[in-house]
Amino acid sequence: MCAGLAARRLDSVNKIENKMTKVAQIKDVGRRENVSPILTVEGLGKSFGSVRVLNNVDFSMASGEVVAIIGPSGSGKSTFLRCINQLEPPTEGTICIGGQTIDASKGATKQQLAFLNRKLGMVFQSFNLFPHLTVLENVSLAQRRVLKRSAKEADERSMQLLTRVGLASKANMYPSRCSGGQQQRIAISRALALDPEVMLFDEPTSALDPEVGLEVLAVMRELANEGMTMIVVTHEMRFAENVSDRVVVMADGGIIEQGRSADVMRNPQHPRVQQFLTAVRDR
Amino acid sequence: MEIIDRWIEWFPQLMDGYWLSLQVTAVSLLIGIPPGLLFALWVGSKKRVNRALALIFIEVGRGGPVLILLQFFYFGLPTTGLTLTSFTASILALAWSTGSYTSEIIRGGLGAVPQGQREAARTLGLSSWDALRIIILPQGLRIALPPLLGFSLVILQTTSLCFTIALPELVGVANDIGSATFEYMSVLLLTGIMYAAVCIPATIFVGRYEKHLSRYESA
Amino acid sequence: METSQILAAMLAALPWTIALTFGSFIGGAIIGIPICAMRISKHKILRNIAIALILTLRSIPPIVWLFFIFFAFSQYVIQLSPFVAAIIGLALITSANMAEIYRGALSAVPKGQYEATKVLGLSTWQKYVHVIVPQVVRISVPAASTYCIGLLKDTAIASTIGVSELAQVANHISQETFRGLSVYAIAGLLYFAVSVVMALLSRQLDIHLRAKVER
Repeated sequence: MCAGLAARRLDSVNKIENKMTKVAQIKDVGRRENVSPILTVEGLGKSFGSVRVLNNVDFSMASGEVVAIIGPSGSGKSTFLRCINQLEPPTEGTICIGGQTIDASKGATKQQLAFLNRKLGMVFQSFNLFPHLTVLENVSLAQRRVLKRSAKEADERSMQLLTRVGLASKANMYPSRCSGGQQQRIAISRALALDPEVMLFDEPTSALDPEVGLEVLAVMRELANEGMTMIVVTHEMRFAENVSDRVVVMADGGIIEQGRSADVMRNPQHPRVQQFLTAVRDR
Repeated sequence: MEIIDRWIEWFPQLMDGYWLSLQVTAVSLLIGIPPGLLFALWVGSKKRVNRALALIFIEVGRGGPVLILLQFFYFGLPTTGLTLTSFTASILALAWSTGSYTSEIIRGGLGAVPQGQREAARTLGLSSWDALRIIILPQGLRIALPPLLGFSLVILQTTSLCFTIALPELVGVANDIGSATFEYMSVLLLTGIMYAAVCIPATIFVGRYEKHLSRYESA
Repeated sequence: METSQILAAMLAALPWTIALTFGSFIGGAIIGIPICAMRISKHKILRNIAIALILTLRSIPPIVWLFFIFFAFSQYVIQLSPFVAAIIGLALITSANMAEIYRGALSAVPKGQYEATKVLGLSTWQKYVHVIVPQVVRISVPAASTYCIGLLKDTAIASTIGVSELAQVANHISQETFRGLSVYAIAGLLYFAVSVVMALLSRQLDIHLRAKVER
């Protein structure tokens, strides 16, 4: 069922060369039947009381894709992301991931939620590191409690990840002693430690100074180059253009345009998108 | 200084009473705070039974004056055949009161933990129990600690009511001395000083500790 | 004694309890103002006196204060009725707590308000009476009403110096009738009922005051 839905969705997806693997078969335009998407969203809607935040959103993505979601404030970008991993349970629609279908009308079962949290990793705008645990403990905790790795295994993996982002020296410190950019890189390591298939980023650099944000974006770029499937809600236009494969533009609770990042960013079709990008560029 | 001589004379008795007050305080806190924590969690529980039990416990414990609760246990229960010593009755009443008020304090502390902590714990796949035990409780209880300490001082002062149910704590002893010697002023003055000697430094300490804690709040 | 008689006797004592509560609260709310003024004063001596006063009032059990005022006044000044002694004692303790509540409310008034009054050229008196104090009053309402409800329960202490309020009557009846269980339960329920009414009224007051200010 998922494959059928997905095939209709992936009309205009294109893949940048360096992300090989299964996605090599995706054609430029037109239908694809042989690659099943890793994630499919159909008819997603979300209301908070009487306020309609998301309206009938359809979306899908393939493994290894990097999708950037941009748009004005209040467009529902973050809500959309948070609906995917059920942080906000959607009001209507279905989400299909890894063979599991979650119907908004029935809600996700406990097993489905556990499944989701293992497949999806999330990085928050405000990092949300645990302040009373050391950096190492932050990264190892879920490995030990959820994946049941031994303390030794978990700490080794944590150190590996921390070394990769250049923060091994901070392992035994508390997060409050680290700068914002460092904390966010630790947060990324914490999410990666669980070996997720898809990484969700909710405005990861919005709470950081521009220069500091660059460190974090560099880590994200590296992740993308290694083939991680990523959805990034962001205001960083350069990142959207250069690192992501596809850009999705949202406004007023729906997707108003999407396509290859270069196409959307340089040659937007929708007037609203043109307006938005001009405003952003002219600052 | 005649008054000092009298004070020195009375001090041992009063100290015995004070010691009893402190014991009752300590035991009431020890017995009362764990239910306070439990009911703080049950108030928000999805199970109706838990919620109802929590509300009943909390409202009875703080809906009326502690004095009524004390007298209920000491004078009221015997009519059903169950007689308690004044010590036991004091502890039961004060522990219940402690549980009720501290459940509100703890609930406030837990609620003050940023929502992002819960979200991070969820997305990492931690079970609700693990999230509570490892992430929320340590942070929430730390926030609740200053008001809990402040409340402990209130309980110490509340033990002064226990003399109405024949507990020979500090005020009870002071009252006895007063009615025997008619030197109420002097003995009450000393009694007040004895309470203040503990409560004033303790209050200052809790105030400083609270400032020390909030200094760590950076992000 | 019939249950209805018990209830009647206790309801008859209720006005005393309510009188104690509001008498002490109003007395304390008024006395708390100068204490607060001293507490935030620029003069170090005044500030320290206020801090010492507040600390002392709150560090000694209310019952000790009540005994002290009742016996001390009776010995050295004039014979006080237990009721008056109770109100004086509770009002003093309330004043210390209200001073702290006012202080908290003052710090919650946005700094911009002070700046605006300066720029408009208002005198100190005008500044406080027309701008600052009304806001302090509004902000204090939640904490003050919570305290007042606590005060309702504290009035039970007055029973120990012989005031014929609810707790005293309950104690009396329980000793006379050996029906302690129901007597104290009824007393507890009465206190609870009054505090619920007070809570509802204070919510109305809070909403009314907020409606003027918030959109």
